[in-house]
Amino acid sequence: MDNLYDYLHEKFKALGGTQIGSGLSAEFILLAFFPLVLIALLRGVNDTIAIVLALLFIVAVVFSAPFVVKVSKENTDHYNIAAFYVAIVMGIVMFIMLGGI
Amino acid sequence: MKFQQSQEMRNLIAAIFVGIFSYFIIKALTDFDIVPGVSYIYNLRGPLIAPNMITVILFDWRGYDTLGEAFILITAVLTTGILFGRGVLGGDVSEKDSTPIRPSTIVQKVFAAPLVFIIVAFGVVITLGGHITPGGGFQGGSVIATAFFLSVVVYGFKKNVFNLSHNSLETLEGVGALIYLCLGLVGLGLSGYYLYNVGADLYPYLGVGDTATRLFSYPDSTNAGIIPYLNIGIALKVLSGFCTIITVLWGAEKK
Amino acid sequence: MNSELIPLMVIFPLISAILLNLMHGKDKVVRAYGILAMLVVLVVPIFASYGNHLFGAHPVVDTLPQLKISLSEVNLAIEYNFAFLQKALVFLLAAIATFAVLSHISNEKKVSGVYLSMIMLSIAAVSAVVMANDIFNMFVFLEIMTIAQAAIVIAVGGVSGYKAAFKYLVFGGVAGASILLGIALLLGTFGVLNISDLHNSLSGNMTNPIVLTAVGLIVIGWLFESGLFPFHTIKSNMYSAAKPDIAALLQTQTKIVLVALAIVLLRLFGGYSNMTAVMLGLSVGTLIIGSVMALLQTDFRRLLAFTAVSQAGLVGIGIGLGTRLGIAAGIFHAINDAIAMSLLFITVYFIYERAKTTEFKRLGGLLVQAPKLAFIQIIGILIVSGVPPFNAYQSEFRIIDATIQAGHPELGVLVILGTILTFVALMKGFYLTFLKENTTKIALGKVHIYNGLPTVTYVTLIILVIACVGIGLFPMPFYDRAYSVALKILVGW
Repeated sequence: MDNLYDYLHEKFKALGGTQIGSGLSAEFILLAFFPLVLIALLRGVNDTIAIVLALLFIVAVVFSAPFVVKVSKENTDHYNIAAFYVAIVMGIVMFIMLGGI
Repeated sequence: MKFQQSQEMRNLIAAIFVGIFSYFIIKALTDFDIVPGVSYIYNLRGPLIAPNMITVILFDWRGYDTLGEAFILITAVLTTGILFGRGVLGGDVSEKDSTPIRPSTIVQKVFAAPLVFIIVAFGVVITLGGHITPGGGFQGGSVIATAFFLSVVVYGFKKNVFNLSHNSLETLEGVGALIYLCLGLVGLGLSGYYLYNVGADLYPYLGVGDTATRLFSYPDSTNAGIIPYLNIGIALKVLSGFCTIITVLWGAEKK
Repeated sequence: MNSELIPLMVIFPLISAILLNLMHGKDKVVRAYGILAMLVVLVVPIFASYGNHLFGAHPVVDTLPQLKISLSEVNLAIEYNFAFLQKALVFLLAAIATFAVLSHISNEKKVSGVYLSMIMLSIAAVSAVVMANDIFNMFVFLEIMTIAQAAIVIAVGGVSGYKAAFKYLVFGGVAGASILLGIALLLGTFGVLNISDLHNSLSGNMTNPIVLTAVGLIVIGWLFESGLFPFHTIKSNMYSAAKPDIAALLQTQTKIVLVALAIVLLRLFGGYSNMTAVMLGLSVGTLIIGSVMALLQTDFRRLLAFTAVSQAGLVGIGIGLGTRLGIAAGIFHAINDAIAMSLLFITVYFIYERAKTTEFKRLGGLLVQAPKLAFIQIIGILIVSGVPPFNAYQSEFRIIDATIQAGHPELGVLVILGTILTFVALMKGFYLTFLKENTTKIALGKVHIYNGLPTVTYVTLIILVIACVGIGLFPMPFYDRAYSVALKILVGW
């Protein structure tokens, strides 16, 4: 744990000049965000499943940390990344509207 | 290699989702019966204004939408101008005058001039008869713009038949749009409703007055009111809009 | 009830746009006319009386033989509605736009008539979108708005502006086509374009698959116009590529259009829970991803751009809840946040104008040189983060309240997390600009910021702060009206 700072410093290099502090706070918010969304989605189905899945998700996220590097890579100004997500959302929106999930 | 593979995977996923999207849209478009609805009423009452129903819907029933469409074109033309340096922050970037890349042959030079005049005459006929016969301002303006293209291609910018500079084209476009906007204001001032067709006076209870109605009367069997004048405005605007774009793009090719 | 000043709110900016374009090159005339036109634009919404306007005077027809639709009466004309909400939104837009025009006129050596003309076109377009009760007319003006906004960014020049505008136009084409196809499906199915008529013909028709396709298509368009999740990078890129004073105008326009389009969607398809679920889900994603990305930026303009996007997500959460409280809080937050974010963008505009850069590594230690600016900026940060005496607190608190009352307490937690993250991000920006020791050579050599700032900009900042405090202390006049709009949306127009 001594070299956590160095470890994060190494990882955050990819972000290009972001401070470690801001990266870490963003990381923690993301850690809270995904389980909460999962709970919000699945709570209507079954409470236990929602909690178990959320816990599993937290474990998975912790092992793949720092998550924030991936998130920031997916949100750059590149045209192809935006086009990819637009295509996916277009399909999903139509599917939800007509597939009736 | 890894990046490329993930990119390929992404393309595949995106293609699948776009496929889902298109499937639902094509499905909706295939089982879809059309209800005439409000256009039924438009068609029922339109002949009271002018014989050409398309023009009547475009310039009377939905005249305000046409104004919006015209302004989409104006905005696009101005944006093209900005893209090539007119009006950017910190002073304009000057344009270069340019001549055609290949000199024209004798045949082209001899036949282009009369053809240009014929095309212009045709465009004027389409515009002025827009409320009676098929046609209208958009179509007439585009036809006249083709004459401009032809003369620019054959004679170059300096010596072309029209002899319009970029600035005078912009002025012409502004004048066309202002004709449309101000004709709408006439209706607003006289009846209280924007773009009210003063000359046709479809709703006499608004109290527009005989003098104003006669101002926009037109020697026709049915009285189209302000529609012919709106057509002229749109024609000027479309013509000068297209010509501005070709002017700007022509200048850009040389740089 | 006919109100004659309603069309002028759109027509006058259009006429001004044409005239300013014709005047381009004549510096003094452009300056004088620009100021005059903005005064008129500001005054007209104040004096316009509430009511509606039927373009071309075509009336509402009640009885016609063999009417091929199920409605008893149909609007033949394009109709504009003007009530308190429209008045507030149009006036807000006019006020922020006035600042943008004045700052351009007072700070640029050479005034560009074309640039002002584009600002005018975007004002006209957004006012029309706010007031239109006709779905096709709304689409037409959305297109004008998209192109005009792209032009404003192109006019700044430079590769980044071109790239942002190109992306904006390409995806704007996708979204515009999507909205148009949705409108075409609705028009073909019901034969009417007026939103009130569509609302009447849609009631009880929400299982028709063609209508559901149209819902999906228009929702995709809404996502683009409001800069929510897949389109958030495009919007934030636009904000950061524009000059910060214009970015204030752009984000105000985005929020106004978000509210206007969402009201249309809720009026037409409000009973369809899948639609509100999609709106809600993507708004939550935008809120969190926007604030996370804001924290990771190394440029103040980009930081603010992502903050503006995440705040749009917050507005979307309120509206996407689909309850009375949620919609009212969302509309209220849109107004509050447009003011507060404009304040922040304008403070950064100061820094950008003086230092010619907003990169954090080149800024620092500006507190000594510009203490007043720092004070105003810290107030702006507190406002955006929802600290009590100010207006955004009133609306953010109500959004959290609405999430809990709607039965989604997790969303309340997420809203709080997002707000905290926004605060951290903005404080980071403040620290790196004003408090951090100014060490690098570049910073010492190039940055000269001083307190001799233009009066126009100072006055604007003070007016905006006063507006924030005023709404924060007396929120009820605004919130009550937003609440009555929400009631009208849910019960029927």
